[in-house]
Amino acid sequence: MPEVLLKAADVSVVRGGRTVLTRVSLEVAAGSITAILGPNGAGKSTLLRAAAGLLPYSGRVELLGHDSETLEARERARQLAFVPQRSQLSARMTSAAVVAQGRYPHRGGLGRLTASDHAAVERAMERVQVQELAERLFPELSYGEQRRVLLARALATEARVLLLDEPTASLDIPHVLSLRGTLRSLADDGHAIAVVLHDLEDARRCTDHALLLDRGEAIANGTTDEVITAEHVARVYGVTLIENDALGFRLEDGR
Amino acid sequence: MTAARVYVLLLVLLLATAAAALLFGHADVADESVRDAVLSLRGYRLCAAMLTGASLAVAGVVVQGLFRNPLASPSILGTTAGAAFGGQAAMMLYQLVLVGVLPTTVLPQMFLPVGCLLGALLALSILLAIARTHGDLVLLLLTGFILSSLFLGLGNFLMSMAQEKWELGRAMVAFVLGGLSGTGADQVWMALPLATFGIVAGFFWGRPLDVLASGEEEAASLGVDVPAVRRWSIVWTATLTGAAVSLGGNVGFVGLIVPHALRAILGVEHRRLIPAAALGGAWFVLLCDVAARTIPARTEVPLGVITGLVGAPLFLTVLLRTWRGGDGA
Repeated sequence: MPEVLLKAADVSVVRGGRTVLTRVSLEVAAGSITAILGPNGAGKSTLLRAAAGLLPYSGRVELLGHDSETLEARERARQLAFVPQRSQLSARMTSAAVVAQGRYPHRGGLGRLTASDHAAVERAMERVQVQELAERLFPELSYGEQRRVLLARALATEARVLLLDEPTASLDIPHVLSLRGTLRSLADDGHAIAVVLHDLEDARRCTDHALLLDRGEAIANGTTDEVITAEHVARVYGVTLIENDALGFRLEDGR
Repeated sequence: MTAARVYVLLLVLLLATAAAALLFGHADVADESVRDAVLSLRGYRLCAAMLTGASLAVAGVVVQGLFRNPLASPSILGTTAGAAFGGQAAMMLYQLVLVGVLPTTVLPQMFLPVGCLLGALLALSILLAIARTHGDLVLLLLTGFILSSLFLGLGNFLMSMAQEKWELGRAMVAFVLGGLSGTGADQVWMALPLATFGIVAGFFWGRPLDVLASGEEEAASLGVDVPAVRRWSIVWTATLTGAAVSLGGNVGFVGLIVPHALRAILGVEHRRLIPAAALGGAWFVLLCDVAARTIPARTEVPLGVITGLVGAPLFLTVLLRTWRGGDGA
């Protein structure tokens, strides 16, 4: 039985007096990728942020068996990394410096980057293949390149739980395929990964489990195939699921 | 250019300008009968200039990191106006209420820096409460403008009340006009610990401010205690602005010009910027004060006029570049 690294139980979120998430539960195990699905406004990103401790919530979130709320901010960041859809970073910082921010949970505000910090940054950049972007300024990168640098920053934290908010949104096909490959290899290395996705096809191709939300409530939870069914899709999206062969792609190098 | 070279260059420029500020002026230091007095007066004045510049430049770096905006600076955001109002209120409180009541161990000179610090703290707290969550440049600048107007108005109101006491009114006018001509040992010794404390503290909070450049949510996800960074950055900025205003009055644009110039050379990392800003700010204000002393005029040109003449065009340039998306530093 794979170890459950992130466990959210009965999580509810109220924002601006409106309940946007109602008693939703989610488990993400080591070695697996879990999709959080649903139409716009379903509460997908809210659940991800609550699980990352970035929003006030009621209910319980456990991180590697510990109550997330009792963890100190840096301790939590060493165990869970969050990758936003788009960074607010506009400062003229190099990509290498952005990835090095991922070492903040380890060294805090004092002290210089140690050799092990540099090694972790190198490994993270290599894993996501952004070494060639190291000296380029982050705001001048393309959207896809920025996404890869942000993923490298998350990996530099060496956290075992990775939460990604719409990682494939607005990416072109090669980048989507490359990202899917990276996520799968990270899962194979024992990471527990949860991703917010819009595209059901994407979810089917790259995730093992799924949670389907609608208007802040969980509609279905299980393996991705169990969740993406004609019945659930009709109920949540109001459309008919047509099972046929979709277009297929693979990268030139066979990945 | 490496950071070490920039620090050495700024230190050399600072020392050379300080030597010139000590040796040159209307009085002749070759005259033995006045030499000690002249050097002492000039010495305290140049110390005040350096402390004012270093404090304002580092306050600029910290507040720009806090608001993630290169256009933020204590004068633009109304913090110096808040500090000036706090100083005026402290002067008035002391002269009208506390003089004769307090024990002699409480020095009157203590009130001005403390008042300036509290005024700066009040202005920054209001600004943060209004503009933090939106992160909108226009809202930030307009709020700063409104706060400046508010605190200048309140300060003028206090001054009009103070006119009943001639000495107090005169002292308040001199304080608001700014400048370092009357600065003595007492003011320097009162501001020195505040400035030093603020600069050192700002340096040690540099790393979280670097991460905060990615926005509050991303910084929190990386383990930064964002409320603590926000709270303490306000305290350091208020401390530095309070120290500077208690010495030099309302000296504008230093916190904008110096960090902007240095960021172009050293990049955006706060721990590299803050020592350079301290040296660069000290040099810039000392240079402006030497100019204020030596420009031929019937009376001495106020320091704030010189920094304003340099700073205002540069602020407009940076503003236009930022608006066009050419400079996101």
